[in-house]
Amino acid sequence: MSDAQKTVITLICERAVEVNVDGGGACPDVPGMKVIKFPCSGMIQPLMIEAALKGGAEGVVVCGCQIGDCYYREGNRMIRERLLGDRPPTMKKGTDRRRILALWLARPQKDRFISESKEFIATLGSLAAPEAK
Amino acid sequence: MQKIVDNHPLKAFNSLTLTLENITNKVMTSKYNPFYYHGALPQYYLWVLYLSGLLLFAYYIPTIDNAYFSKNLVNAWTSVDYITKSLPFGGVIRGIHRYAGDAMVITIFLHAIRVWFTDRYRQYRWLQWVSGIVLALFVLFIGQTGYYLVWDERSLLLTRMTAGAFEAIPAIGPGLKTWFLNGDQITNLTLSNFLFIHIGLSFFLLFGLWVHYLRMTRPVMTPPPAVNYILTAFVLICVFLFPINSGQMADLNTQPSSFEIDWFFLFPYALLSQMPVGAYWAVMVLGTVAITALPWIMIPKQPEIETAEVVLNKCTGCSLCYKDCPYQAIEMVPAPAGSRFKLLATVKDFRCSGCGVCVGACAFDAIDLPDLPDAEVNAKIKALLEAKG
Amino acid sequence: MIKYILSPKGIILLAFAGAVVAVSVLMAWSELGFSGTLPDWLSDLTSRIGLHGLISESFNNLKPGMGADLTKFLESKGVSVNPKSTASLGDYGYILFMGIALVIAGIAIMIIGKEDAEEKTVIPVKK
Ligand code: HEM
Ligand code: SF4
Ligand code: SF4
Repeated sequence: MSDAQKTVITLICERAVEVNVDGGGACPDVPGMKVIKFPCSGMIQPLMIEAALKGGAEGVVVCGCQIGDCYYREGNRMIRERLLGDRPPTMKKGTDRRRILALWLARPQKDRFISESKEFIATLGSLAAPEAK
Repeated sequence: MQKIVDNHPLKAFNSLTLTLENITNKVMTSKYNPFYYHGALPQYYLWVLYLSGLLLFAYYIPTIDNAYFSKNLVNAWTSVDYITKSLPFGGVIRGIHRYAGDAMVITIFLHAIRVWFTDRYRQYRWLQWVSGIVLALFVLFIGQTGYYLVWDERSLLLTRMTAGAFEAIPAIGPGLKTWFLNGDQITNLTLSNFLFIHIGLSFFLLFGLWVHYLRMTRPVMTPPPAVNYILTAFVLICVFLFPINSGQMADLNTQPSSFEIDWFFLFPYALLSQMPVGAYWAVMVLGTVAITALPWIMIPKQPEIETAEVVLNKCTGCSLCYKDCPYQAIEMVPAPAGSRFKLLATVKDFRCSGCGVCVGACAFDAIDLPDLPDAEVNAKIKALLEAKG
Repeated sequence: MIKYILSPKGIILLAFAGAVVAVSVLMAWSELGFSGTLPDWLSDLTSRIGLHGLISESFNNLKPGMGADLTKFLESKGVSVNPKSTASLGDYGYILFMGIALVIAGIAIMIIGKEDAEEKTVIPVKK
């Protein structure tokens, strides 16, 4: 892949922070970001994150509602614990954890989402390129 | 695949709740945001009530005259008076019992409003909603019997109003009245019945709560300690600011005409005093029915829930989805004969919310939401990555 | 069995059971105003292990008006909680202080505990 076209995939709950998405799945507010929405962040599998990284994503942003306020009661807690390795299934050992960011933001916190993900993308640039797998 | 109901009549209220909670989050973070423990708040006050009630119970005497003693007049009112004036911290404990009750009503109300505004009351959640209403009615009635127990003039008037209202119900009315007074008129037995109702129903609440929690995995029942401290302090400060007293001792030969009203528990009596008994019952019954029916009547056409489906030949019976499902919708059944595994996950459709948490829990891609299978998610990820950035 | 009783869990359970029995007995005793004398063998035992003074004194002091000093002090300053209240003013004073202490404690815990609330989870790198 050429450097110019690095993509960050966002896996997000449709009830969490409001993110604009265009027809092609891109988020116009954050250059390079592509978004997939889920009914609940608890549906996100560690496998999906790994698939995105393996498929050439520069990073993955996982986003759910504020911890404590899941519409389905526990979904965001579940994926958070899975990411931290406290609840099975967890991520494989070799997964580059520096390329994953999890955000827990309520519907009105759009600005926070944009600034956090921009900052994340900036740090990604300084990381060594993901090893080819 | 959009599951948020866009035409929900309470959408504006939902945004309002979210905005409000965004502010509380800024002040005390999600970890201590009381709104995130909405169900746990009344549960905490229930424990406070049990404990303070136990202490009052040790000294309370449920009679209206000195049936047990011959020297001085000893009855419910004098025993409450003794508790208030003579026992160390008796008045304070009585105050705690009173205000924890009021606080419980307030927090129940907040809890119910929140689940309603944030659209968490319909479909697979109907059992929680309906059992919640039953709980709220019982809490009200328990609180009212608490006011009868004091046996001051207010108690007498409330008892008479209640007996009258029961009697007016067709067919079962007279029976209800006899049950309520434990006889045809107010006697010593009446107060022991009140005490029995008050305590018996309090413990019945535990059964009601069991039903309320039945379909929720790991219900959030305890706020963090810091929140508990503030909840307790709220009650204590109310005890200090508004010390409670009994009114005059009830005298069966008089008819008191007015009393101070506790709006949290006694508002039905305000209604009852303003309208004929028939109209009162109509308002109460229709009101309750209407609120109970909200999950079905609020949204004319509720979108059907896409329930999770198990891919039979992939499921290994590892039980991870069963442990993580927030609505107890998955049951592990013995695998069919010939399977390599012992168990098989099955989804109880009537409990399933379509949230997909089970999908996130399955390491074998063996459970899917039909409208967004994980194969499709992975294909989408791939497509997004391949599309020019 | 013995191993279980000596484990931390067992000790806590035992202590709890002891407390339940003690409170049950004390409730009955409190009806008598904590009066009467202990049976000989018990007062023997308690004085031998130096607990006698503690038990009889502390329970004999558990009488109405624990807040009497505070009441007197507050009244001398012209404070009154509520003219209608008949209960000991001192009790109410204690409860107010307790309430304030709880608010302070609650806020203090929140300020400390706030730090691990998160809006952002950075996953630690595993080696
Ligand atoms: C005695 C009073 C009550 C107590 C102690 C209580 C407690 C709780 C608790 C602890 C939860 C679990 C919250 C969670 O973990 O997500 C809950 C959920 C719920 N309660 Fe109550 N509740 C009470 C009364 C009510 C009332 C009056 C209503 C409504 C009329 C109600 C409706 C609900 C609903 C719909 C849920 C499900 C929310 C969800 O699935 O996210 N409850 N309650
Ligand atoms: S998590 Fe997957 S494999 Fe395990 S029991 Fe559930 S459906 Fe079957
Ligand atoms: S989608 Fe899965 S986790 Fe969610 S309620 Fe249904 S069975 Fe449970």
